[in-house]
Amino acid sequence: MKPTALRKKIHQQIDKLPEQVLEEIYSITSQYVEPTWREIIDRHLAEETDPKELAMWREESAFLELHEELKVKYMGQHVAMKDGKIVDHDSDVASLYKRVRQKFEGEFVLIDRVQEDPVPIIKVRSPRIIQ
Amino acid sequence: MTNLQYSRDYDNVYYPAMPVVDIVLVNPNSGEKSHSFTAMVDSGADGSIIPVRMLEFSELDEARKIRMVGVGGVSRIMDRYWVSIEIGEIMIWGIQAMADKSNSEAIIGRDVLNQLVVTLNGLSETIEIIV
Repeated sequence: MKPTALRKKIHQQIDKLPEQVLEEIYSITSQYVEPTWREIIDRHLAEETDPKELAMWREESAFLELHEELKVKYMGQHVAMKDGKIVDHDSDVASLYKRVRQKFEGEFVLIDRVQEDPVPIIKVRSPRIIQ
Repeated sequence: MTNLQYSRDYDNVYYPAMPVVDIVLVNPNSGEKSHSFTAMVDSGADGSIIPVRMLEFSELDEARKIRMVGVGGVSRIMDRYWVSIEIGEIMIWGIQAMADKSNSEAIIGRDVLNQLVVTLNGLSETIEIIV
């Protein structure tokens, strides 16, 4: 079969698949070409117009840039980052959050634990069986 | 000091029956509360996931975004919000809950579970929590 004919046949088969199946295929295949965290940040910094959202991406970017430094000073602790600078830190996240909230009410302050990986990943491992 | 206790039957809508808890979300700043709803107990989840519609009860502070990886390696960036969680009389302060835009089930992960003594009695299909 010629490549063009094969392509046409594949497209015909894909068109017959239900939307739900297509979404599942997309979500599985997209993980192999997913952008890096840095690419995501750069894209948002370039496109975002909402000041709060923009602030979030800026702090995220600064957190990544300073991560090696943060590891030396604050490993295992929670840090609060505003305007690219550490404004507070604490091993107790509740106390830190309360202080930061009081000081910077209504403004976005990135609070996270400094750990080995600058971009922590949350895993949800439990598969579900759809009846 | 008196221990706080909570117990509930598993949810038999699921097969096999699912350990679940009834939770109320609390805005850590204003104390404003959501109505009560049911969340699955999942020790395979690193973090807790809340349907986004459940997070609309109050103006919650946004937390650092995070990449969540599910079964099969499918990943996506999740918005997170600062929220406290009440399970019966038990209050878990300052969780960075992931907002699920697909609005499916709520999941209580190990960020909450590791602050509690949780006993799963599969034979009697009850969950007991002590703190």
